Amino acid sequence: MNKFSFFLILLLPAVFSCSHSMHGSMNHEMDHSAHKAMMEKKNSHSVSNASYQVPDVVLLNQEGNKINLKEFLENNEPYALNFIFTTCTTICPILTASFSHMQRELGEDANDLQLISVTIDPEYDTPAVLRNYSQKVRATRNWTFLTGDYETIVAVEKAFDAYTSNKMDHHPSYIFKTEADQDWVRVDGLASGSDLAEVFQLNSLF
Amino acid sequence: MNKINELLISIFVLFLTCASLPFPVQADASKTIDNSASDMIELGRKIYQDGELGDGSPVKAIVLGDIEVTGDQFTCLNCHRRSGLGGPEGTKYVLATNGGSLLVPRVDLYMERPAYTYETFAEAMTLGVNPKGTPFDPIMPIYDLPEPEMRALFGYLKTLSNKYSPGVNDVELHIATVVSKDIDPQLKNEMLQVLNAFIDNKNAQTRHEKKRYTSGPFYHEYRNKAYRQWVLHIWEVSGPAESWAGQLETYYQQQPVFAMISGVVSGDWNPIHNFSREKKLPCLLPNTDLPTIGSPADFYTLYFSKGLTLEAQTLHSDLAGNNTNGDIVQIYRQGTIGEKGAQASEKVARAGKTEIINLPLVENADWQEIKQKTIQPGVGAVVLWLGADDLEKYAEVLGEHLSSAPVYVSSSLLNGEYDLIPPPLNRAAKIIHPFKLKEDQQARLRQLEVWLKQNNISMSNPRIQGQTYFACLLLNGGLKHIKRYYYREFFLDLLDHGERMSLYSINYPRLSFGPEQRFLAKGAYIIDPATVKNHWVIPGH
Repeated sequence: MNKFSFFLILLLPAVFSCSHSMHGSMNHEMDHSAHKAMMEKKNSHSVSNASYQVPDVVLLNQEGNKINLKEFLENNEPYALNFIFTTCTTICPILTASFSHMQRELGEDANDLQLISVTIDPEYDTPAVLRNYSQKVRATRNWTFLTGDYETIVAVEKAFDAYTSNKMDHHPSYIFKTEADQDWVRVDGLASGSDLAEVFQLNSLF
Repeated sequence: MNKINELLISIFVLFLTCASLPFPVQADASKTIDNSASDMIELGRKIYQDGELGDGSPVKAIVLGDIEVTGDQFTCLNCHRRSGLGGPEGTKYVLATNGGSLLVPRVDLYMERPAYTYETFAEAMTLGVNPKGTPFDPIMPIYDLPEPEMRALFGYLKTLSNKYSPGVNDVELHIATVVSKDIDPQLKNEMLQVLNAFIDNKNAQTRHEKKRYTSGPFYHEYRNKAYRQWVLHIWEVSGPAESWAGQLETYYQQQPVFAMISGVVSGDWNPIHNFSREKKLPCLLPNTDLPTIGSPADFYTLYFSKGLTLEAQTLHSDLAGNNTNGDIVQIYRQGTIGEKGAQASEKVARAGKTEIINLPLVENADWQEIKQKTIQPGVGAVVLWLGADDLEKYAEVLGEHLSSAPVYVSSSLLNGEYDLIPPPLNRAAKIIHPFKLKEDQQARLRQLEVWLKQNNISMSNPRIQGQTYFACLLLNGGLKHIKRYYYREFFLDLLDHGERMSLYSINYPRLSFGPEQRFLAKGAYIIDPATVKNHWVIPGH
């Protein structure tokens, strides 16, 4: 290989990276997320233990009532929590449907289980919008939807390691807390209703 | 014997053919499926967009193996979008399902499969496998669709994004901006200068792209053939607003456009909004304080904010938050945009049962009388839907006799320039400001100023010039990612995922994008000079 060819080979990655950056600002990650998504293992979810510091903040539920998140969570164990937004196209409808299905799978065991869905698009998802959404998904009475001002919601997302700077890049996860355990159980990835029910039952003392 | 066999075979084939043709659904005799092609396509559209079967009941589906969902919660449109071209969200990538994609074989780095036929499509929907037998990602639901509905859906998908939208050919992409003849010529010029400069620059920078594909690797063809020269059309409307639809139709017949961008007219944007909806023609970020606040089905027009309605909602949120008692006195000049602000406020107040007293200004208005009505007991708040000149007059007559009730000033009526508020109002009045705060705007304004200077334009109207420039950025961003798929719905689907573009916003804070979100900015500031505090308000929170 002569020196010129060697130089060209070295130059190639730089040329490609430039051509990518020239694509400009808007959704430049769009193509990359497509690649990433294609390569991801399908229907995979992982379960892990986690520890969180719940922020002492006030949110609003779908009725417009103020809810102190720390107190609400402490008083409503066991609970399952996820992060959604109502105009989400692909992931959130599944997150919501799997909550609903988990409830059905658990039957009477779900009577004390509080479901909590926190919006990550608080400026659009006002209490009225969340109320409509809860009706559309036929949410049961022990399912609370929460919104708040933008900074507070970001604080909550960060506290539960669920923050992404662009809501379109959000990752699906479910967070469980039972009275039996000091820690939280976290499910990352999309899980079926029966998978979630199993996770919950394994981590509960009924 | 052979002839009998042939006859039997013919009868059998005829039977199969008839059996495979669409037939009316039995579930509800009052709502039967018509077999005409257009009705079948309409039924397919209803299944795709609304998740409804022919009898009006929701489509049933199962997702992730065991989650039962109904079509109204889980429509095809949800994931595959209005264009059917899908796209990424989070860690998932939704495949295209439009006719142009389904009916051709796919062989690329990610997938290899034959073209879909009706049979393989039906299998895909009910079993969750593609024509090669490869299972889909489990987030793709499997559907329980009766055969007529399955055929209707397949028929609809064949028509979905199957040919380029009007307004684009192999070399040009046409866009229009709407102006009304009675608009201030300077304002019109400020907007047009930005549009023309942006488009000239874009065309100059990409003038060779069309040629490059002939002399490079395969992906050059894929990329560079997508370039088009942009051609801007100025659609000037005049006379009564009721006649604008006809005038727009004439322009459209002469030269269809792919999208409308920016624009400025006197009065409501409604005639253009309706035209955009009827023609399924994207309308991107018009310069208006009077948008049409319709239903989510109004997919085609994207606004910066709800304009004066947002201001009115913010005002009443703040009043309610401060437990304001007493009448709300509104001053506005009759026949101006201020009157629209007062009307929007009245509409919001009616819902909250607050009492409103309107004081319209006419020529030779008695300012002393107006002043008395604003400072008398029982007044809960004073709202000034006034431009700079009238604010000056009101301030003059007030002297130092400020109302004890809170006073609010509309920032939109000052074009966002709240420095124009004269004393003593500037020390006491709360400003309803749906724009970025001055201090947060400086960096982006400086960038704009540099760009304007490069194009020999002076920055004379940061609001109009900034809004128009941002509209151009958004148009450019959407068209860049559209690649060669020139479908209007795909263009708008892409913009719905344009969240990162909010970083480039010059005039509005916290833009938030998303399907069904047609007003990018959702809130407004209440600037209170008395307490030196700025309070961000989202109406409804």
